[in-house]
Amino acid sequence: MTADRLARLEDLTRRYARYRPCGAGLGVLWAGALLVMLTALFLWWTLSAYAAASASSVSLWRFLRSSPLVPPAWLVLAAAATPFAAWLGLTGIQDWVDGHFGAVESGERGVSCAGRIRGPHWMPSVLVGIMAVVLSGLLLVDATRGGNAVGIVGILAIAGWAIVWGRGSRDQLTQMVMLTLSIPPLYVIASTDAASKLAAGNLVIFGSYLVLMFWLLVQGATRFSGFLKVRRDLASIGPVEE
Amino acid sequence: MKDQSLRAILDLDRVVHEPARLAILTVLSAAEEVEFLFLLKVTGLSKGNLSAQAQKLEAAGYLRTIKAFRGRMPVTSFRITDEGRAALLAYHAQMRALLPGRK
Repeated sequence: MTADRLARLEDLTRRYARYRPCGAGLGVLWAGALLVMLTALFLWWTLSAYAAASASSVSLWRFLRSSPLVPPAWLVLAAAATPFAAWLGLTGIQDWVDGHFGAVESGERGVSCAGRIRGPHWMPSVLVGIMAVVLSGLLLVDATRGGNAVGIVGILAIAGWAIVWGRGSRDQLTQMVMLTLSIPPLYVIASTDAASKLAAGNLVIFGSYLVLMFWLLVQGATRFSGFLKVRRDLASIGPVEE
Repeated sequence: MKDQSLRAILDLDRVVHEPARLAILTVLSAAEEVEFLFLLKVTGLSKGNLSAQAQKLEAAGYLRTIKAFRGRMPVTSFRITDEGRAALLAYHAQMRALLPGRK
């Protein structure tokens, strides 16, 4: 057993552990598809409401700013289900990857997302938690004017799940996917409070999170390509002499 | 000098010195927890041999076996222990002393 061979084994293991999480990067594709679908549903509903109001004399932005638009139950349900569907899909993809090649947990504290974002691994969960508290507070304040308790429960359920999900993974890409898929649904649910007038703000939120998701897709693709390279290297490495 | 080298060779940890076990410990030292399936792929050992070598390493206290389930599938993973890490480091130090050109 040469020192080079041992160094190669070590390097392969480290790289595999780094590229394996988030379904070897494929989990981001699933998450991206979900966010695009939710955005499409949101846009379709918004544009339909704009057309139905025959408000062509005012711009869409002005219309959304001035109308107390409340999303329908189907859109709220779709939004609330998105983070859970993302987690289910990601778990399925990860199990498929691990079932074929085996799981390796990295010893690193918080696997970085291409080294661009640094910070404690609990930060995305905390951000979702803070956003949930702010938005449910908004609903609570407006409750006296007919706000809804179901919305508060929905927001807190998403935040609770985000914290559970976040605690279960030290991988930064998975954490960022969780953040990106948890915040827009919180806003959709919060806008069920007519007094909040969040319809216009939601357009900005969805736009921003789509841009973030695009960046995560690039990270996912990079990770998947790294994973394929490790697989090739694994296939080419000869057996250890028995 | 010759006696010293002979002594150093005799002092080598026989548990670690065997190539398959050295490979297993090296892989485990690079991660926190490694599944049996990955060890099979990376070492190219047969299932039987890998199990036997892992048992010997566990008996020496160099690794810990973790049994879990993925869905309904039983999954076996391994973790290197502090003793295992120390034994691997000591083995590398001994080999460097024996073969000075070795990294």
